[in-house]
Amino acid sequence: MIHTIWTLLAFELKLQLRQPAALWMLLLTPVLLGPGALIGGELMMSTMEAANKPTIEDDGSADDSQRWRIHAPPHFAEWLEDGDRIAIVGGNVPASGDIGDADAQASVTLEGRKATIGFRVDSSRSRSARDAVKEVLKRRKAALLDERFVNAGIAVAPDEVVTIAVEDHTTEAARAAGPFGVALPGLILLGLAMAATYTAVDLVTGEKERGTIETLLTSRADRRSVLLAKFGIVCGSAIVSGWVALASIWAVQLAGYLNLPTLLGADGHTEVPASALLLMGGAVVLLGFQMAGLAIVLATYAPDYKTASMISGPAMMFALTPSGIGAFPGIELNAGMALVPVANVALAFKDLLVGELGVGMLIWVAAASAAHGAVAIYGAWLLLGREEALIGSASGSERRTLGYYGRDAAILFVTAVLCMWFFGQLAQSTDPVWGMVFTQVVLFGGLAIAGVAYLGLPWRRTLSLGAPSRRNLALAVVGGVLAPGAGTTAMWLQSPLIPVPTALAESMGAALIGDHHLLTILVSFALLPAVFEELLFRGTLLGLVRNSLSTTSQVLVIALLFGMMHLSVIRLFPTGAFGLLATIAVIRSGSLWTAVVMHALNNGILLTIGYFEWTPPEGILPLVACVGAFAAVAGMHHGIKGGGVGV
Amino acid sequence: MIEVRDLVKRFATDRVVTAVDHVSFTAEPSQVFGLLGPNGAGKTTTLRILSTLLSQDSGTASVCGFDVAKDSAKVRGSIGFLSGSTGNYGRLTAREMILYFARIQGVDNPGARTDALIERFEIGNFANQRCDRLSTGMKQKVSIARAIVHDPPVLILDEPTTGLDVIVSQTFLRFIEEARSDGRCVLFSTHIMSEAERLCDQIAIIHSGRVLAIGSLDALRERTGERYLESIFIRLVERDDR
Repeated sequence: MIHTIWTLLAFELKLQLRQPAALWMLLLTPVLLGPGALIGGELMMSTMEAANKPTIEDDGSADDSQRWRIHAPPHFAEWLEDGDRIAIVGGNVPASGDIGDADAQASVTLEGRKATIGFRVDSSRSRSARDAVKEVLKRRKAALLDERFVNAGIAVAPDEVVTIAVEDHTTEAARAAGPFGVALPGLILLGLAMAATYTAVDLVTGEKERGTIETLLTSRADRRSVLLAKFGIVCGSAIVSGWVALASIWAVQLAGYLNLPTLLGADGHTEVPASALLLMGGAVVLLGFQMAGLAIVLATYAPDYKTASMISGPAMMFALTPSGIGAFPGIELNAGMALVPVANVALAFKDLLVGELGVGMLIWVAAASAAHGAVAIYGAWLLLGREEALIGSASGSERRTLGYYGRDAAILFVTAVLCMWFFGQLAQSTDPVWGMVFTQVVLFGGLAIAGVAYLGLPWRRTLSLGAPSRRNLALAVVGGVLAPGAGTTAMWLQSPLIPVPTALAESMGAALIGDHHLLTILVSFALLPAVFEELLFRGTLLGLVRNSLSTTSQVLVIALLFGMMHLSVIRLFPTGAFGLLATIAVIRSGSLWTAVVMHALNNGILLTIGYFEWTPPEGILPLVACVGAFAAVAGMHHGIKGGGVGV
Repeated sequence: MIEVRDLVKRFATDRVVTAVDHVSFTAEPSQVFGLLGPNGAGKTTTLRILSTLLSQDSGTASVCGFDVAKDSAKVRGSIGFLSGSTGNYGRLTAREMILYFARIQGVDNPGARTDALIERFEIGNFANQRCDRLSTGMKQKVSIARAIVHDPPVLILDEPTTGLDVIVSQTFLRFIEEARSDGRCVLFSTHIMSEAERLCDQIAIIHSGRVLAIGSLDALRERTGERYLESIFIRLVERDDR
């Protein structure tokens, strides 16, 4: 097999080298990215100078046990000299009590009634420290209230005692590395994705169109070898393109037209070390794996050049989007993010520039990227083995005649996610309650109805609008009461890999509950999602995939899509767990209303608990949640009966 | 050499179509077996299953004793596949293309085998030209050389003369006759009656995925009472349509 793959590799390589356009794409595009980076870098520098961010300074006054390591601006140092410093948080952040460590990550100073926490938003350790300091301050506030006021019977608002403010003291180097670390993968990815797409389309779709694929597939070489060889060339093209882009950027810097060290800040970053560059070259290999995998899948799927060009452009742009994820404050490379394709390498680039990427994390990112490539190759292999990959697939209208609406479901879901991403989030950040009303009624409800209307499907059957039996309705009520256990269990299980930052949980809860009346909260965040999210996911989308997927796949796919729609890695599994229960309920009962009842109860219970700030006793929650989750799954799967609807 | 039993293949397009409907036949060495049928009769699908490009829904098929579903690699090593729509790699020269396929097919001395085929098919004058600059006849010669580079005992040819002029077609037909003389089993699909009359030892007439009749030309004449293959074909198809 190795000999065959080697022969095929040489064969495919010769084919590519005989194509001048391929070489052009492979070399010239990334070469041009150097000057592109120059212009972008200079613009970034001027923007940063204009922003007049704090300079870096070490006050040098702290003793060994409380050494100051935060790069602080001058005015911050002046506060320290006031002697009002009350805490410095170290690397191993204590939950409470005295704080002091050589590896300080955050600080707090007290001026009158105002406590200011200093931290760096680009460092996960610093953010953890910030959260811990906040926790300490909160406890101190509570203690103050208890000791001085509450016991004395005087009602005082906490903010009259201490006001907690948070200030970002990110260093200039880190600030510069952040956007450049975001921009750099994007610049490299652009050429890399183009090289991967062009090569894949030529080697796979082109073979189908030119009628040469049959010669290969009827030769002694098996399909796996053929595919691996093609993947090798596509991957190689992408990697060479990425390396050329990196070299081009570096060459422009050597020529004096782009000053990376200045760009990255003078302190501690007088030069970008060669090791970092080598690691970046390694990161390009990982990107090459991911992009080549995607390109091969698309090229195998497309029956001809026209289709390939239609789907490759948007797909690659969609794939490039995660490269900008590092631009979002607070998103760091961790074990969970390392599993997200493209985003993991983009974040690794950023950490490399700041000098924070550990070997362990690098290996984890590499393993995840290799797995992405392997999954893509397997997908392409499955596609190459299918008739439609060889002789063309049925047209949209033909598929629909047979009742296959899988592609329509995919388009509807992507539209819903994009609408949620752009319009839903904007609306909800403007006003949580009215934003949610808009998102649910207009976006989700509108898309669910538009999808069914456009395809001309029967409403009642597609959306499973039939009334449930009393037994199923009763079980849905029980399932809805137990359902929070499923989400809580999922969150608990994922916590070692994808922890929920305390600050994030607090801010999410605060944003939802705010100072609204409980009834307003329940209507906008429990009832409306129960109706309209269910209408879209367990109604339209489930109805569309009914004929295309097995029952198990329907449950898994709809649950996964439901989780993805929440646009959060942290909420993916908890919401997906609820999605599992609700999808099982609809499939087995044949009625959407079972899921609506469950959804309303699930959200309502969680919101009510949050509203009254009820905290369960330590250690009890996981046990209760697990029992609830198990009972809910068992109840939905074995109790509910009588389904079988859909298109 | 080729044994097909109750082969069934369905496609879901605008409706579920049974492209191959319980097809059975046997083709022997030193025999040209013709699959004769109109467009859409199921000829190409049958040949694609035999060459392991597609998988059957039911039934069995074997080539040189190897099951197409279970021993697909050995089947591919035993066949030379060529169709009218098969293209050449335009960016390679004729020599490079034959040489690469000799290597892919695991031929012992690929260089010598390539030279032998270049000489046999009189490709020498254009062996170092890129395939996209060759004439149709030259391309067909390269395709034939590519298909038999590993000296396969079975040739599967799917309407190989479609779109070719008379002179190039003759080259092809001569090649099929030579293959039979060499002891190869040639499975050959066509809708050109004169080719089938000239070449085929056994003919299977296929319509709507089903085999309507199998036999030598003489046997088919006797069965239908018609002299010419075209008349035999029309009579059988019309009878089936009724």
